[in-house]
Amino acid sequence: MPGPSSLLIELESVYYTYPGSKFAALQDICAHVGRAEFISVIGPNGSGKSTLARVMAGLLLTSGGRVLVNGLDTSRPESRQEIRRNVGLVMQNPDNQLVAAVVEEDVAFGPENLGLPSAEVFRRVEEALAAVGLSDMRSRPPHMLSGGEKQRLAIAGVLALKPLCVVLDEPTSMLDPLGRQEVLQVLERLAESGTTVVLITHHMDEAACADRVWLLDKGCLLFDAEPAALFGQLKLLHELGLTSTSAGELAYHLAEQGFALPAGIVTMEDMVKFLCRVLK
Amino acid sequence: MMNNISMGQYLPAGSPVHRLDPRSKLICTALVVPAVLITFNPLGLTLVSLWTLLVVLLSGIKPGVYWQSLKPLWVLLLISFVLQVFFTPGNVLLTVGFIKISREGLLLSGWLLWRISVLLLAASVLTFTTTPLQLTMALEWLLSPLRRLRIPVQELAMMINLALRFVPTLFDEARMLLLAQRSRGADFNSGSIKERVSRLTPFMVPLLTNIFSRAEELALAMEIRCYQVGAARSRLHVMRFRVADYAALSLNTAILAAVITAKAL
Amino acid sequence: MPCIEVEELTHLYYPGTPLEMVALRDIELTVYDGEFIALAGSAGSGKSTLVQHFNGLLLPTAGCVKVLGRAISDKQHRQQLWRQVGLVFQFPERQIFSSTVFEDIAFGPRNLGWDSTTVSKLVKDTVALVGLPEEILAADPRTLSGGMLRRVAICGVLAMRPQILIMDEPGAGLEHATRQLILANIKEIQARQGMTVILITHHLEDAAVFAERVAVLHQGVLLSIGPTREVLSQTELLHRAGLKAPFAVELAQQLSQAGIYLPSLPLSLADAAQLLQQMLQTNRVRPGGTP
Repeated sequence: MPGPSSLLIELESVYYTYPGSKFAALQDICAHVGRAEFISVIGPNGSGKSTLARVMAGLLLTSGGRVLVNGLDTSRPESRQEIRRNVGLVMQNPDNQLVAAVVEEDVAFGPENLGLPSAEVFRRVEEALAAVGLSDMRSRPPHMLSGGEKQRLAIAGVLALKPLCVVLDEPTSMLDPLGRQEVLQVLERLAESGTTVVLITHHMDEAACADRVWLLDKGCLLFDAEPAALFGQLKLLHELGLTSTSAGELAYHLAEQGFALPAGIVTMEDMVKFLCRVLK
Repeated sequence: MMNNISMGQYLPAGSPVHRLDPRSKLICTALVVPAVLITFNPLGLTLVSLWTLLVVLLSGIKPGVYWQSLKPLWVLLLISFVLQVFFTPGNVLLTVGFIKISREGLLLSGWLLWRISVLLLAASVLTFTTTPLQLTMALEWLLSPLRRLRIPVQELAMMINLALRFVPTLFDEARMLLLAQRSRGADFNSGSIKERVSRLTPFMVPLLTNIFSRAEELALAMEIRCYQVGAARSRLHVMRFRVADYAALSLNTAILAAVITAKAL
Repeated sequence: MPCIEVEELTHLYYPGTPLEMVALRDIELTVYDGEFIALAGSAGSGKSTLVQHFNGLLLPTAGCVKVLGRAISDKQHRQQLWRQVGLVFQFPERQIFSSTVFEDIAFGPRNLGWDSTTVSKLVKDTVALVGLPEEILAADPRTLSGGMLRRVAICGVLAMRPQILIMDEPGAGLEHATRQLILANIKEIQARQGMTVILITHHLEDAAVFAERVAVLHQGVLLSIGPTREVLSQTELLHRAGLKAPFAVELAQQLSQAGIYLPSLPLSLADAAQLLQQMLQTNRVRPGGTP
């Protein structure tokens, strides 16, 4: 068991029901996110992934149970601003989260809201833009950027608040392969540098990059495990209308034809390694 | 996407005019307006015109671009010019059929055309060389005394900023909707006014729905980034008056003063 | 029989201004009756601009586009093209405006001037065609899930029975199963009714399974066009266009670098599984992976 100080977000039997709805969007979610951990969340459409993201960022207050961020209860109004600073949320459509007509001004928006002195705002803008590789585009208007660049800009806008954790709600679903790769590289760099990352995605090959994967269905947390363990559960994934990673699916096809492969083949690398071993 | 440059678009060029403090540019443009309007003296207007032309030349943007962006307005101006020439009574210089061209008509409309051109040029210099963001910052600064009257100047400036940020996005959205519904056979261009209004439903309903859902998400995005209405904010860029700003402001004031004096004499 | 002929098409945005931008340059392309062709390219490659010429929404800056035998520069022809060429825009659910699903799907057919019995039969048939339950017709679109809504929006175009159907990323933002379902449905309709389908996508796994030919656009230039197998095997070219080759193609390539050669190039996971199974069998590899 990790000690309490190593936990960044604690979800204690969290329930959430949207006002006016009969069904709980989240039911009895018990989980935790450790410091510097990279977690991905998968699940069918409508399984409660976005709700979970908003609950973790303290934007929605639980209907039952509680959420602690860095030890602070999200339901307490006096800790709201600090929770906002500690947990950044990036949403699916970058167009709707960029607030300024110039790249650097957009990144500056967060630090300006904190009332930091101009020199500090400037430094944070520099750092955040460098972290996502957009330093050369600082004076461009956001609507002239590509999808991948816009989403990296949205991430920079959150990073400028120096959060402990960044939660991303399907940040790549509107992007082309190149844009997706750019965003994913940024996330991997972030995770390496000690920022906690929670990535909601329906690209299984992306989800497999994480340390742990959460599987949601109908508001319940069905699975909380390492990628290798989850992506071997093909029956379960298929029943939910999901897939495994491409390599996992290939292993499944082979198994159906009578070649059960050893467990734990999740990535292209795993697959190539295995085939080299048996075919050479 | 729009297919020509409209007035009001920022064009980066890095000229001395671009580098001026947006506040001095805003004030100077504001001063040109009365200077143009009060003068009835060709010398005074020539002075203001030369000053405007000088700034246009210094702005690093080709005169052709000014010409092109103002073209739609020129057409309007020319029409009003022609009408005024035809219908102002006075000493008739030339008669073509029932149309009489008078000396007064020619003078009056020429005078009007000249003045409006100067005003349009001055406004174009301002918007070509100043980002919308700088403009709102300058405006916020100019209006800041109103805060004493409990007018939320900062929030107003934020609203203008957001509107500026979303104009291109909403423009694309509207264009996309229009094309999409047209390719399903929507006809927005024929029928009586009543019919046309009801035919707009397939365009207006989703447009408004999408704008509202965008606005909702935007509000959330601002909240995530610690925005609080009424809280004190700092700024990334601090505006600073430099030597060039003082020079431009004094020159401009001097011209206005000259024009006023000329009128008083 | 060609149904779309594009000759030396160039399209500029903001022509003659400092913001002038080449959207398409010298495109040569022919689409044949009844085929399923994928237009692949990253964002900003000009795919969307190109197809907007196909139903007369845009006009070439230079060059010529012929659709169904006549040039789109002919105004009369252009204005009637929507009757034969259906265009499903990206995120088409954003265009839904009616309070019931039926009304929304019926919008296009009604504009075609069909009588109400025909319209209502067509709407019902279309919904059945894509495998949605008939009860959905009475539903309020706002109560539907994202995937359902997307399918309803696509029905709105399908119900017009277009000869040519153009779809811009119909699966964007949807989970795998729904995406497959939509494309499989369209493929079935194409085969049964002889409709021509142009699929705009940057997801080559989908092109590999459904398209007969693939065209690759990059920065407004047509990089390659040909049978799916031929185009998708050019991984370097795909990479240059900012695309990712299907998993199976990449796997085959990595294996060949390691000295393992598959008898032919697999495009889909099913292909790859079949080829690998044969190899594993001849190598007498037992399940579990021990030779």
